[in-house]
Amino acid sequence: MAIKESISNIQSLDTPPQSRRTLVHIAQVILRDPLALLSTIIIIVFFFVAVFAYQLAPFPEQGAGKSNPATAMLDPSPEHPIGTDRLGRDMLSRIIIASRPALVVPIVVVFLAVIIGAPLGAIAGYKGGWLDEVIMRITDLFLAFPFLLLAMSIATALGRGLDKAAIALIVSWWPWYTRLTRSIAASLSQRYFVMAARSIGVRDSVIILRHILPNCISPILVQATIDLGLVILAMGGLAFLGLGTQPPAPDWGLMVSDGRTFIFKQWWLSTYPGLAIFIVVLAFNLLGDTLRDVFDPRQYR
Amino acid sequence: MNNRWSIICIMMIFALILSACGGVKTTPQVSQETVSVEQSIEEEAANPTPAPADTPIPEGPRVLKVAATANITTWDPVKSFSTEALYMGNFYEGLIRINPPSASERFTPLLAEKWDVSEDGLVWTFYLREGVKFHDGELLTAEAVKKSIEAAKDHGGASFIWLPLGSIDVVDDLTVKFNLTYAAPLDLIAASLYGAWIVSPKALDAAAQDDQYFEAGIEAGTGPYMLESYEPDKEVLMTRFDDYWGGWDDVKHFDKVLITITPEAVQQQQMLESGEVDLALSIPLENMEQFKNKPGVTFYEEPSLYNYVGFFNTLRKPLDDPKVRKALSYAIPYNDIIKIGGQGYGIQSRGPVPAGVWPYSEEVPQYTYDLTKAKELLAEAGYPDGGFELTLTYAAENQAEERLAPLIKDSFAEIGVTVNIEAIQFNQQWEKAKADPANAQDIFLLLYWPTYSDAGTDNLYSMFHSSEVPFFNLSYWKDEEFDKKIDEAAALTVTDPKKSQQLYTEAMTRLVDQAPGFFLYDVTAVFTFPDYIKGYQYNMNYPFTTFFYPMYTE
Repeated sequence: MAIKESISNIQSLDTPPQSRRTLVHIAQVILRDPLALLSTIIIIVFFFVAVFAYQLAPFPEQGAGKSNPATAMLDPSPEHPIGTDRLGRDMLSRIIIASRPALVVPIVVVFLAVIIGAPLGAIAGYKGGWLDEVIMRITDLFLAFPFLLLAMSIATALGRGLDKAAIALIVSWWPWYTRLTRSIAASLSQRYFVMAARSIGVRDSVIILRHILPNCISPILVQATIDLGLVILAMGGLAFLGLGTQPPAPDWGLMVSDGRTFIFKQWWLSTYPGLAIFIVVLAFNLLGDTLRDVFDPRQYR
Repeated sequence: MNNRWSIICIMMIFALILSACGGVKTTPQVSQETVSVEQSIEEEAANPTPAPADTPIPEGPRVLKVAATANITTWDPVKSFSTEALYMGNFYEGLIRINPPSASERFTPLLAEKWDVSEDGLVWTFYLREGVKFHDGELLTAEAVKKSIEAAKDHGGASFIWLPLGSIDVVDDLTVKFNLTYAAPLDLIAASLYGAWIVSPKALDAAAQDDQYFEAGIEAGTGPYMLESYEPDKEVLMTRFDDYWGGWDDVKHFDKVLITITPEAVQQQQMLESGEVDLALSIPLENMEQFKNKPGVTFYEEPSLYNYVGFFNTLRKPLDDPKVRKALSYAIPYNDIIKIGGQGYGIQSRGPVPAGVWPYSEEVPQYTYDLTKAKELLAEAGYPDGGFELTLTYAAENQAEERLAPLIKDSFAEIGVTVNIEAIQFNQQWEKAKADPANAQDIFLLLYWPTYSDAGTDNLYSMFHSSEVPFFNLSYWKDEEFDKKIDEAAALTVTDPKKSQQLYTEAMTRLVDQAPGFFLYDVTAVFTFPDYIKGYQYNMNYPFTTFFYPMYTE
């Protein structure tokens, strides 16, 4: 009797906070907020451009890196709307083709960082004790360094290349997700629905997989969206320093770096790739903000 | 929500300002034409920053302000073998200095007033200038010269230049005799920018006691300038040495030279244009064009000691076949490489010796860009459609190599040869090439310059003479005929220069024909000087320093 009562109490007080909000709901929020709408449109355009890069670029071969000495350093013209670089490659095509690594790499980096970071955080937060200590001290080790500095050191040690830069970013990024997940998992582990599951003898691994992790998804999703933008920025930074994408492959950060000696006269060489980074990063940030609004229950009380 | 909008607004404003700035910069002529006279006068009044070209140097101590990339790796003149040569060249002097090729005399006497050489080229006698003082008050003597050169030979950064030296005899206070073990151009060696400075014996004694003696910022040369102060990675202030033997009377030399260490070339340009400095020693090559016809500025385009060389790995298939190497040499777009890699400032090389440096010869043949011929030769060698892959390494910090490497890749692709470019730091590139030649790169791009102005014993020997352990011969090429010719030629440099030149020319012709490497271009040095600085003379033999003493203002 008493047990039944308390269980019904628990249910009324403490339903699992799993996200029941549907895509429709997210779409509603986005449509209501012009800024969110704008950022979503930008991101959709960005995805579209990246997928059809080779069809959209006026000079796909040059965009991918083929030099064309005859047209070196042309000013903007109808044929080359934002001019050509010092190897005679059409800048617009370069920027368009460079959207591919700018799309793929952040997705891979963030995805792997979540795959590594989130389960560790969930275990640490749920189990607590010495396991928590060990995992969290390891993350502290990584978080003790400024993020970009750590990524730079790892990338330098591994050598130049896009794949190596991506590894460096994953290695320096996962601890953030561990922290985030741990804090949520720690509070979830004290909630009645988790305690109830534990009390009826559900194994820890199942609790983590079925109860803890699903409830961490929305904050992770919000964070990941914002991070997609930040990874693009970090990639650009590494490429600017010569640690990321290697020429002749196109990359926005690399293009900013290549054009910087021309900044007094041919300012467009650095400005447009920089603008591309700026717009995409801003769009991801705004979308992340919107998603936070959607998932944050306080806003809808 | 409000917060977000305000951030966006701020960013928009920022973007607008940026694009507005850009717009003005790109169309300076249009805006100047449309501005009325009155307006421009107003602008001038409102803009008190003087243009660099018409800044008179004010009375009082005349200070020359310079922006340079040169860092100090050591203050020890004996060990010095790097960028600090910019400063060393003004603090220290050697016995003699080699003149640019255009000068009527080959050498300028500095600490030695005259010198002679025995018939067999083995004994060189230098007669020193009287009354020369070191900055620490010591007097220049034959003993000081002996001590300096012996230190350089023993533990100098460029000790190898003294390899032919057997012993040094002090004949009297002002006469010093060098005995060589084989005939070598000791005049060229004594004029070297590295390992040939004459240093005060007192300082050398102190350095023998304490290895780090000089590093506190001590110098003890005879040169026109002394080190007044320096801040690592920031600036070096030189002040004139009142007792300099050359004197300070005849023209208005600079009393002080303030060098701001500025690694970023664009920043140097900005400092020059804002009038912050009188001279910027490294302006981005891409931006030199705009100084060409600028009033108040002299634009220099001069030959240099530098050239760009590529090495084929001759130990590996298919590059072990001279026909394949020749085919590839025909497939290099030399003109485009100069246009884009060198931004037009270069001339196609004739072998590995840059124009203007002994033993350069006009008779050495060049390859042309000829894809048909390249394909023919490849077919003859058994690769009708190419079909092989090559790895090319270059030093990622070298801007010109970064620009030209893709041109080689794209051109080789036209004859069916795939090139994989690896951009790595120079020391990694270097280590990879030396670790195990059989597994190293296929093509190695290198910017080369001789340590002193003898490209026979330096460029030709270092890069292509066979050796058991590779040093600079990164094509790992071994050719008896070439070795024999340059060994003979080197031995005759002093005693029979004509015969020596002929042998060198033959050796270089064979080298180009066998093509263990390819020879891209000799770098043309480009730089600008404001017209109010007079007396400057470019000397291609000293690319790492600028001599400030001859400069003056009126």
